[in-house]
Amino acid sequence: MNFDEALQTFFVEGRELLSEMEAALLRMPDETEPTETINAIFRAAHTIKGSAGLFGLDGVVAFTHVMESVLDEVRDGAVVLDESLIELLLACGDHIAALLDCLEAGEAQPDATMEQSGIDLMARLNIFLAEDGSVAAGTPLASSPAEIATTDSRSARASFGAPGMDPDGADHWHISLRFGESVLRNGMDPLSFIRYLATLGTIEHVVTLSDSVPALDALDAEACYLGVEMAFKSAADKATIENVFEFVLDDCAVHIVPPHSHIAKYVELIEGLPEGLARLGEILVRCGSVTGRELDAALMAQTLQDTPAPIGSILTARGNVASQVVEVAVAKQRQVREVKAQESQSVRVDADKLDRLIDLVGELITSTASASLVARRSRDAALQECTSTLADLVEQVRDSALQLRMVKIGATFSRFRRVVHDVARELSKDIELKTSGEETELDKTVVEKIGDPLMHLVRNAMDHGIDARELRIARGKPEQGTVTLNAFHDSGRIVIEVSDDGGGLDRDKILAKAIERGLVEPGKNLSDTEIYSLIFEPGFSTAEHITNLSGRGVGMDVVKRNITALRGSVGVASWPGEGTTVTVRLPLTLAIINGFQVGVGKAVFVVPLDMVDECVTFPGETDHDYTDLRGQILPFIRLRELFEVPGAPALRQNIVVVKHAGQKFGLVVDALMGEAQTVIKPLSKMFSQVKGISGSSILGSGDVALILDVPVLMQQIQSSVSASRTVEGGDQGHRPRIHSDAASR
Amino acid sequence: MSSPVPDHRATNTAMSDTHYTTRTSLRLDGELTIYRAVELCDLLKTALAVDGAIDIDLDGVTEIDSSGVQLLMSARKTAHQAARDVRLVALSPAVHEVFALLGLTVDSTSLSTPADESEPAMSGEIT
Repeated sequence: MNFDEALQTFFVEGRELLSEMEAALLRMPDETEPTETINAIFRAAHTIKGSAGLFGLDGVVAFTHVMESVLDEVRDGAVVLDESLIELLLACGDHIAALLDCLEAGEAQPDATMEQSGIDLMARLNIFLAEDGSVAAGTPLASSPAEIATTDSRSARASFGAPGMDPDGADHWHISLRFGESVLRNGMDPLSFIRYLATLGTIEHVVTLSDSVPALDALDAEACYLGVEMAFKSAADKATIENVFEFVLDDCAVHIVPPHSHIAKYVELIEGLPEGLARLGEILVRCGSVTGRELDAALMAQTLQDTPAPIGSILTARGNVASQVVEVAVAKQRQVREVKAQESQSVRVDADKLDRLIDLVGELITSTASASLVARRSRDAALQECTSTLADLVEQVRDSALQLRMVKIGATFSRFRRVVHDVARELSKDIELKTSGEETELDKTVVEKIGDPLMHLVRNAMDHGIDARELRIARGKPEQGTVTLNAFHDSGRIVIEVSDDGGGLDRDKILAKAIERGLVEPGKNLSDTEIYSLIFEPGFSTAEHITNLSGRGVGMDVVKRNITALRGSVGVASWPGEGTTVTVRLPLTLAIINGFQVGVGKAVFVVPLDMVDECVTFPGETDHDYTDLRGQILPFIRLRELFEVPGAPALRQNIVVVKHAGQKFGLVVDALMGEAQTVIKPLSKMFSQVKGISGSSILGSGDVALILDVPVLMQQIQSSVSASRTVEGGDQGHRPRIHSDAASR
Repeated sequence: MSSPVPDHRATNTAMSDTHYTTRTSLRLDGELTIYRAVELCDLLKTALAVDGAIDIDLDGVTEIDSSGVQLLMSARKTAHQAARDVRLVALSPAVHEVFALLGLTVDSTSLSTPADESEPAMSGEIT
């Protein structure tokens, strides 16, 4: 991997870490036991700093260093991670992201505004570091010598926490090893671990402890008695270093103290080991892990504290505590390792390469179709068998290729946590985001394009949907508003719902506005759903005050346009006083679908197979546009009439029953031609006005088949149903509820 | 390293009275590894049973692992307990490499006298 590639990986991973950090910051306030989350935040900052250091990105290192120092204080409990600090850290995360963007764009220096904002943020961070010393010293707790010692070293560290003033002291890992007796017998040599460790960094100092080695008479020559204390300088992370000892973790005591650790960590380490304070303390000083002064202070504090009780018992008690801590830590490390192991099973691939693969698979499908056609014509049984096997394989290749691009929608959802958090503050509303169905998968290209429309819908829900606190209380709702994101699969499409528990859409206001804008003729009788759908019309906004966020009338129509461009549809349902749900339906993939071919005259149409419910024989009644399907009314469209296909209908016509958004309708066709893989080619602009067609596909014979746009056809059905509403409606007492899917072209 | 090569692994146990007093020399050859740990342990015990100072000659050591290092440490400790003088002399490159890796120092010029070494070795130094 060359330098540029490595740098690219750093940018990608840096952003991932930032988003992890952001997620952790946002979920922190809800947690009762936030230690692990704080650690996660710290780790993210630490890793970014470390990797940035590897690439010599000094700006990033200097900034993250201050941030890390503050987080370290938080970890030690010296600084409380409250709302204001979370805000600050979120802003810091944004700043780092901006720095990364800037560096990725190849700009050596950030511009003046960014630099200034960095300086401002650092100043705000430094307040926490400066405060810490004085506050801690001022607390009554600091009366014992131990506290004074701790505070001392802490403020000392805080002062070197300033950028550019890196300590030359303990900037290495301190690794403490006590090998288990059986290590040698198990065929492992402690030496080999040290040798391997030397490949990960520099062993600055090593002290081998022979204390436990007995005299020859008592020596079991095949047992291991050795211990090692070492100062190890490396840019590797803790998990990597731990992995070195993976095979001996079970029967060895391995302690790894990260660089720049608090003196208390070292004291804790010393206490957990059998050799005793004075002996180990000296070794640690020799390793340069702690200074003599620090150690003396800590030891003195310890002695003073320990005098009231028998020293032995305290040490034993501490030893026990330490061993429990170690056990917990080991279990955690194991988890981390397992996660790492899972991660290492995945491969990063350029999205472009995947797209190229999918394109090729598309071509492959088309040529396989023509090959099978030729084979059928040749009437050569062996050849036909070959092509059919081939077609099977190609289908599998297609599925796996498309599967490669499938990603879970969860990552997109979690991005909105930050949006909701920020916007809620901006609007001074208390709003919570709930998400479900994060596991739902969809094509990466769809995910990328759905972000903006969803963002708009979420902002809109928060701005217009959720009422002000007073109104919510007056309506007897919980003070905190809720915006919900939900995703699930439904007949080959992904459905994303954005709901709020606000006041709902105001039917009369929308209608009045629509009439005023000339979108609807006055006096026209419209159903609720039709009125609600008006919000997707261009230039429509009912917000009386234009806010920063929405209400400029460029919102919902753009959302709708973007979604229909993805061959999707969007609908809205609302309950006055209860809330509004916007439903977005999208195809799972934009490239290749399983199609069902039908023939009308000489033309071939493709219906997405996932939408085909069943096929029935057309009963031949010609006077009305509905039929009886097992006791239910099934409205249908005659494709021959709709597309004005010339020629007389076939003697035995069929009805393809299609299903969309929970509703069924029929398509009357001449012939059912069966299933075929369909590579979707967009229609040229010239045909963009044609309604009911969403794309085209090339058949094996080289002919063009048109892909039917089922949501649009359903809309047409809806109007004909409205017209024939007088017909006795089967088991439904009221008018068949047709979801107002406002997809149109 | 596990394949037995008798020639190399043969340990010369000749204890010759090379000097004027009771200074004996024990020469260890070949591999000082876990495969021979038990054997070497017995050898060292026998050597230390004889009175007087001992030089452990490591010139012919081709390989040494943790168990070998441990044995030498144990031998030193045993000697100290008996107020005896045990020196490691003529370290082979293999021994040097491992001692350096473990941060062990061997000071053959400043002889450890029983009086100096009344306390156990502080940091695993083998003198």
